[in-house]
Amino acid sequence: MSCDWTEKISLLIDGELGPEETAALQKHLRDCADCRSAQADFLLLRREIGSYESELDPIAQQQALQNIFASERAAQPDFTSLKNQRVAPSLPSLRERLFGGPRLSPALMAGFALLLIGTIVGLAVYLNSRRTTQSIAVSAPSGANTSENIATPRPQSSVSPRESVAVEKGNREMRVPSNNSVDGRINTPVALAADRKNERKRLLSVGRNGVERANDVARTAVRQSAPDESLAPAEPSYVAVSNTAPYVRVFDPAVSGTAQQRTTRHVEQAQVLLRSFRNTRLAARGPATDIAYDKKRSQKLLYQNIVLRREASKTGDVPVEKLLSSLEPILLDIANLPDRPARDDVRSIKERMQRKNIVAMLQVNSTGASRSY
Amino acid sequence: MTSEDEEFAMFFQDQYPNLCRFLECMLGGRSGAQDIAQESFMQLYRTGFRTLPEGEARFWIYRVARNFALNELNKGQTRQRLFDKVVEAFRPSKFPDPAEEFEATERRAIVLEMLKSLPEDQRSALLLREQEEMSYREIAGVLGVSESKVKVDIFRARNTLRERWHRKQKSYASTGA
Repeated sequence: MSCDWTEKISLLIDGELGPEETAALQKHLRDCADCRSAQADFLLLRREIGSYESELDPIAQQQALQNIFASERAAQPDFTSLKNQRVAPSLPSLRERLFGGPRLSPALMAGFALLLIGTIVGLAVYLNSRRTTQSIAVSAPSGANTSENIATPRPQSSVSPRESVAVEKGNREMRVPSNNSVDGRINTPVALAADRKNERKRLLSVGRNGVERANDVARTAVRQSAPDESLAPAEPSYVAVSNTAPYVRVFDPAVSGTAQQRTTRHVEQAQVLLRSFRNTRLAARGPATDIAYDKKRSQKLLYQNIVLRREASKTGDVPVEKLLSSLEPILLDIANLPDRPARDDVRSIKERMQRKNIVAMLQVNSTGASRSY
Repeated sequence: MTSEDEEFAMFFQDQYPNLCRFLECMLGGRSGAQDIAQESFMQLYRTGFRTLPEGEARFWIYRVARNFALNELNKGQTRQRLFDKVVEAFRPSKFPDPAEEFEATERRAIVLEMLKSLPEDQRSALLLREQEEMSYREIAGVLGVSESKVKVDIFRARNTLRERWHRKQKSYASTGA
């Protein structure tokens, strides 16, 4: 059945033979029935294999493209600066932002937050200045107390000339009875400096946590001024993922779209993540596979999932709540994996995903929901 | 949508069906093929479609897809998942005639069965040649092997399938099927 020239037939039908070799082979084909049969068979195989068609659903194809765009957008959280604003799909006009809708606008809320911070700072400065005034004006009842009230001067290197003069002055002139101090402490210059230092620390901590505190404060202000439960702060919340990870913007239910749209988007993103995780190759030996990217995405989706699940529970959407409840432990497990996890850890999560058939459940949910729009 | 996204979308619409077809033949069925195809395009999108030289994206995507397919084959998870079976049962047929549909299904099954019998490297090379019409040089680039290996693999694949095909014809003829 085979001839020495058979291999050249394969090259001939692929156009990989030079002109001289082609001519020689054509001449051989005229005389060799085996080679003619081989040529016919190779061409038949080409027809069968080449005509194989995948039964692709056009909707599924479009969905795959949307999943790719959506997952990339979702996988780029804002780590760079806490000052970055959320990107809403469509920003309302200035008028709507200031006065429109049942929610208070970001501008008004930011105003509330600044007002409160200003009040706290002003109060601190006022209290501080009162303490200073009181400590200078009051005198001790007896000379015997003077020596007790004199603070031990700090080492020379840490005391500025002005402070050392003040200490000396205090030593000679200041008499401070303990019952005149504001908080029960003896108000010596060093104690005052310590007070100022503590106050500075307190104010700095307000500033450092300003974003989180401002949000909390703003939320409190909103709640106090408008008890309506539907009001929610439009600013996104920032939650520390870990001590080493930067703040991650948590999905805010009030930001954009209906609950159903948000859930659908979330389910699509979760689907993409789980598929990617399912396709992770585990090295038989050597260093473990790096899943840092999947882990990061899982962390983000986990917070989104918690928010949406609670929302579904609140609105009584039982099927969605159940779906998100099934999804949540898997997201949590992936998020908690080290960047280079052990084979067994990854395998056990994959097995659980398979037992729950979670990817299929997500796919059914997202296909059904997207078709209803 | 940015212009890069538009270009990517056009490339996707163009190549996605072909890539799915290649992956189905590699994996011996539809199960997992679309997942891997989507993941491959996602990798391309992440890498940056425009960072690749002109015309290189197509070979890049097949290279990545094939690696994913190999992972899948190594895992041994080629059984069709329950959900896929359900979807397939409800998929509307594009053949008005049931007999036509049956024949098309049968032929698809025969092709898949024959390809499954080949070693993976021969299967990849043959599919890229017969379905994607890549040259030997291009196939060598995608698979990361030499041109002479591609040449040998394709010939051996064809020879093997030819022999099986003849054996099958003979067995049909003898049983009268």
